[in-house]
Amino acid sequence: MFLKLVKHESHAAARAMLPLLGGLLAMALLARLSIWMMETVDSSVTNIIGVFLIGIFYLGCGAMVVTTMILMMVRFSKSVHGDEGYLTHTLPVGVHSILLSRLLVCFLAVVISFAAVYVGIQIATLGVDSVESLGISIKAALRSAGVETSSMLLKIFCIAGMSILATILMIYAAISIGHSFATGKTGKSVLFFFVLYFAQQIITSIVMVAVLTAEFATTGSAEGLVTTSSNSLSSTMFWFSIGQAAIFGAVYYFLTWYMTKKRLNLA
Amino acid sequence: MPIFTCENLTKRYGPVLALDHVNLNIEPGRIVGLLGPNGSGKSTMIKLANGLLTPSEGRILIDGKAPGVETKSIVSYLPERTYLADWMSVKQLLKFFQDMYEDFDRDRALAMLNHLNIAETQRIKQMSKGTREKVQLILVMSRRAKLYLLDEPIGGVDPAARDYILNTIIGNYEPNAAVIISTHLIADVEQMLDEVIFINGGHIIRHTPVDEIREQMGMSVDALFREEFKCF
Repeated sequence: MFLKLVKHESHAAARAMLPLLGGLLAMALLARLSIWMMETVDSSVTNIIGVFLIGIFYLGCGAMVVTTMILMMVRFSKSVHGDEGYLTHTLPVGVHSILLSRLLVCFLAVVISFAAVYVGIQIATLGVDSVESLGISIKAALRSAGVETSSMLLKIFCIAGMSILATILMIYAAISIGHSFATGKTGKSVLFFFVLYFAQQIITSIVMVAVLTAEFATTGSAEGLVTTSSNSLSSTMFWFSIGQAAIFGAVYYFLTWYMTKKRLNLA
Repeated sequence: MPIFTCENLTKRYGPVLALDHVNLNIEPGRIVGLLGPNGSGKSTMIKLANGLLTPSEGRILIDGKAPGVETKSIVSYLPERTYLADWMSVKQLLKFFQDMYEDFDRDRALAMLNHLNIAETQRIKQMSKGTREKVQLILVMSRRAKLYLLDEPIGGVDPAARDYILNTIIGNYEPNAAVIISTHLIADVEQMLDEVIFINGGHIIRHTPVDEIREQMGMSVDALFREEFKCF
């Protein structure tokens, strides 16, 4: 039954995502065309249009991920806490299945939107010497600093994945708490998002200071947290980032589950 | 065994008591009218039966079990508002119900949709409010459920649509299933009811077979309701 929920949720997400992905691809092609025109035609008009289209494309790249998140949050809000919730919560499935299916599809949608931005930039800058040489220079600089690029990228992807999950769950928790009130549900959801966000920042800062202090007391330097000779992301920092995202994610999931299971307040 | 049981069922919304130690049994094969004025606790009881609310005290049982995944597979619920995603087409909704409910009878749904000339390609957002409610009712009544919980099924529709909805309920519920219809439009539904439950202020004030009201009291359900809930 969980897979059926995922299938229908994916269908709902795809309906909203496909126009966005298509729009970004079209903007990337226009940006590439603009770069080509700027390189081949010496005209201030083509330069102005080119700069404008490239600017629009980069704005679109930024908007892509944000819009995806907003669409997914609206979907969660409507299908779990809005009128559609009357159907969602009377399906013969548990609350965990409902939440996890939405979490999985939202996570995939965000990952796809990041991938689409990457592909879009690749298309827009295909064959542009300055961009390609920039990439080569960064790789060379990292290698000369003794950084294993593949290992670092893997760690960054792990941290990014966990952080995306924790962020989605934080928004779910805020929506679930906000919708437990009789009035002003959307406003209160936004309010609780900021409450949870600032609480997380404060707790993370306190724990971070404690970890740095402990590291300093042990080694006489906190440098090991940031760099090592072979890797730019130390194990301590990596596990700290993963751990804090996992703990906050678990807390937000429990909050979402509790509010949905015990304090559901459909209009 | 009763299909629907309330034991000392109590629900509070903060200081407001919506249901107060309600005890109730409903047997399979009965069509029951849950009748009461607005705010009497009808919808709260139906939401509790669907697991959309949690009791403050006491318990509610569907076929002997507390509301959960198992009971949701045997309860077909029509809420008082439209719960269908407006971007979905009728075809997508049929597929969704077929995937989610093992007891969903697609052929029965298609027959009813064809009768109303509703195309499978039509999207919910393209439909009038009345048509949306009919589609929702068709989906709900196309399940071979053990218990149908219908919350104000004729609340917001015109008299012609009311007749269609009531005929659809009578013509499609499973004979061994119980149907609980919550409404305050008693005159429209009373011909189809086997039993009535009068509810007010969170208390069950009457649970009687309809025949008893007619034969022993010589009144219609509507007349009795008007008398018992008279506003002074």
